[in-house]
Amino acid sequence: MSEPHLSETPDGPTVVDAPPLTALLFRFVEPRIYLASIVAGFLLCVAAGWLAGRLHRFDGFVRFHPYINAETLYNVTALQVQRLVETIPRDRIAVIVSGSSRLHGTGMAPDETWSHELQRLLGDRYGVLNLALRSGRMDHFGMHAAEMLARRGRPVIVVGEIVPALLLTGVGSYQPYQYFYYDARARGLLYDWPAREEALARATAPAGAAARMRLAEFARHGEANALLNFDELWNLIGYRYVFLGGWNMRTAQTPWRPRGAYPDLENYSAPPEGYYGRYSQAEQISSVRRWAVPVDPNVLAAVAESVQTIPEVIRARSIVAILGRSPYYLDQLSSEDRSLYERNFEAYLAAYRDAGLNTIRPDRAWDARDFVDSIHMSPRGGAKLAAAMAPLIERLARQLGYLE
Amino acid sequence: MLFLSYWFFGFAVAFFALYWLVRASPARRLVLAAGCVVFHWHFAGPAGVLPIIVLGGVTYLCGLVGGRALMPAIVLCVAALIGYKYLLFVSESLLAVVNPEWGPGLLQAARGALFTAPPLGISFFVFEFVHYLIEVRRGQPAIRSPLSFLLFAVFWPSLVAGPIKRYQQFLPAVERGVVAVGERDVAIGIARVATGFLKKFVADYIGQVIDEWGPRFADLNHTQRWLFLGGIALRILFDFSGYSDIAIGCARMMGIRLPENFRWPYLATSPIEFWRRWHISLSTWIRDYIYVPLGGGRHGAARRAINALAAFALCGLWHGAGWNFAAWGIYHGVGITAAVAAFHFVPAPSRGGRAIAAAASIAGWVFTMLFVMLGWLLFFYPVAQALEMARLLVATR
Repeated sequence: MSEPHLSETPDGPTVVDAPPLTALLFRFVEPRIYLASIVAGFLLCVAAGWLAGRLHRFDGFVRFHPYINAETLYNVTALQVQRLVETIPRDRIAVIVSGSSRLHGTGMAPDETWSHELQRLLGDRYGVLNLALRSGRMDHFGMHAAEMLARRGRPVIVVGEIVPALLLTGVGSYQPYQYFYYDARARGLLYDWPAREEALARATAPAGAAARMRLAEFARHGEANALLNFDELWNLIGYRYVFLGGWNMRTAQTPWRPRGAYPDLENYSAPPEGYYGRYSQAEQISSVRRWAVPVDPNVLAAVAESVQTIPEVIRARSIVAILGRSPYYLDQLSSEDRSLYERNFEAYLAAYRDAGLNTIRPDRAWDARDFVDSIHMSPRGGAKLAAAMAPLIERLARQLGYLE
Repeated sequence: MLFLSYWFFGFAVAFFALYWLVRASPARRLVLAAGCVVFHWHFAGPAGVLPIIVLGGVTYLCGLVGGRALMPAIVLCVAALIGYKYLLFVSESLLAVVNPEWGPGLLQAARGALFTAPPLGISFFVFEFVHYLIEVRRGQPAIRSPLSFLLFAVFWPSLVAGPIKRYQQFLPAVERGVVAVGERDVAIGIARVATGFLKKFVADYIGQVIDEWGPRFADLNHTQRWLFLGGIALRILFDFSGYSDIAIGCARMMGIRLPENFRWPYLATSPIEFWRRWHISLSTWIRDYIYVPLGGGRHGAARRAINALAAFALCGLWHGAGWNFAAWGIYHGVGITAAVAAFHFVPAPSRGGRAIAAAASIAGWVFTMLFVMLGWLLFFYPVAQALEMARLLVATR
């Protein structure tokens, strides 16, 4: 055996014609045929994507539970959402629920969501669709879906929820969802609303070049997908056959399982004595106490200004709930803190109202059993929210001329 | 990952359409140069492009002048690499230990004067420039055409992650490409790019698993820990060689052949062979411009070992500014020195030939894989954490 040397061996960087497998391929296939096949295959995929975008349906849709949304890398496209909202019969007033986990129904099993109750209370003249997302925001996703309908002249009302002190930008703060705005915009499904674009630019500016590049990539992705429909094809395959969009902890055991096969596992409907056990009590109290501070007038003004990022047509068709924290924790605050907390909330409520939003605070008389934890409603709380919302929706529908 | 961006797809479509459409080779060279400038400008930005213009300009001019101008240019390139990439490391890890005020002071002064974030691909730029200057110093002809030098310096497929090019090999390849790119080149290039993207897809998938499980390594059982180790080994191979495949494939779609960077490295039966298969353009650069000039294996076993350790420590640091990278490099230096010693002292089998050779190969492969995989812990994690993870591969607590 000769002694190998690190040095002085002639085996420097070498150039090869093709790696073995590629070379083997081109022994049997003419390059011209290979290239023609690639072009044909590509066009076939584009056509399949176009078709997928028009045929795809969510089975028994209740809400975008974690297995069929971007939380687990299933990035629902704007076209899929458009198809979904179009399932609301044309003779009904579409009521689109937009917001966070609170309206999504975290704390409520699929068959006991508050939006079910709202549909029951409103009756057949309305079609309620829950498009709120965990960690979502009122001013994107669901609201964009409402824009899709409003732009087509369909009667629509948005039911949303805002956390006080939240600046609205139109894309939400949770990064995995932010693609959606760009996807919808690229397909021409949204209103041109300069205030939203300006707010987005302002919000991105301090985050630096990387954040701007990321959002610019979302925009390019949206434009490419609007042209080629690759996400539609990818999502159809991922929903019906096999999911290849990536790996995450939530689907770690069965990462390739088609997403349509996953049930909505949100099943929080424990008896009331089981509530409030999920999170650390100390952390929850501390989180509630953060709201017991004097309101900063600058933040209040910025919050009110950010409301202008919502297109006027949609703002006029929105009812926004400002929901507080559970009395389970509020009752543990000192009277001084509690008073500060109340003043704080009322100030935000007034600011949003003055900025042109129809706002309500439905939870003034709620008790600890109306929540399952610090912020999420129990089915009982959800029913109360639905009961508070229904007459407001009917009144707004009349004001908008949807009802004779 | 610049190649996995929609901007890049748009760029590639526009670039290749133009490149193939233009038939005259001088015009094609201009299209290629314009593509390189646009690509570099987009991803590096003005702050990243300016230092490369300065370094490239100095390298080009000093190459033309030759003689005594070459060494200062080499020093400038190396100083720029140290300044941009290692200043923070030097300040925080070395100077601050000597005097707590020196480290931050140096950093502040340097940042105020010149240094901000490292320019995109600075490690590759500097290694290619240094290679060029050394070769000119050794008597090779300098590049006279500014356009040719520009193409060598900012050739977009290899700009960010190599392969590290040799100009004597690259410029003739460009000449051939702009004149005679054909269907076969395009077909092979596309197949290579597709292979690269497939590898990147797998690497990213494994990466998602690793990112989740890495912080919980201690909670895994032994099988999962070893699978995790295999995962990080596959991830870096697919990630890095996938990137090389895309670069080589894109170049081939222009008719330009770049050198291979990976040759099935996990089939190596010794650490020496591993480095002949892994990141070949870097390992040969280290060999030709660090190890051999240090004396290589010409001055006895002890000197050879020291040279190998020094070369690999620098190789480790080239990958990143951190103690773990230096440790990873030294670890491989030790491994190679030990392997050289083993080959030297263990006699070759005189009888029983093939069976013993096959058994030795298998044993060598197992040892090499273990050696390399454990080394990746050092590459990815701080030294203390890597050692703890290595311990947990065999210990229960």
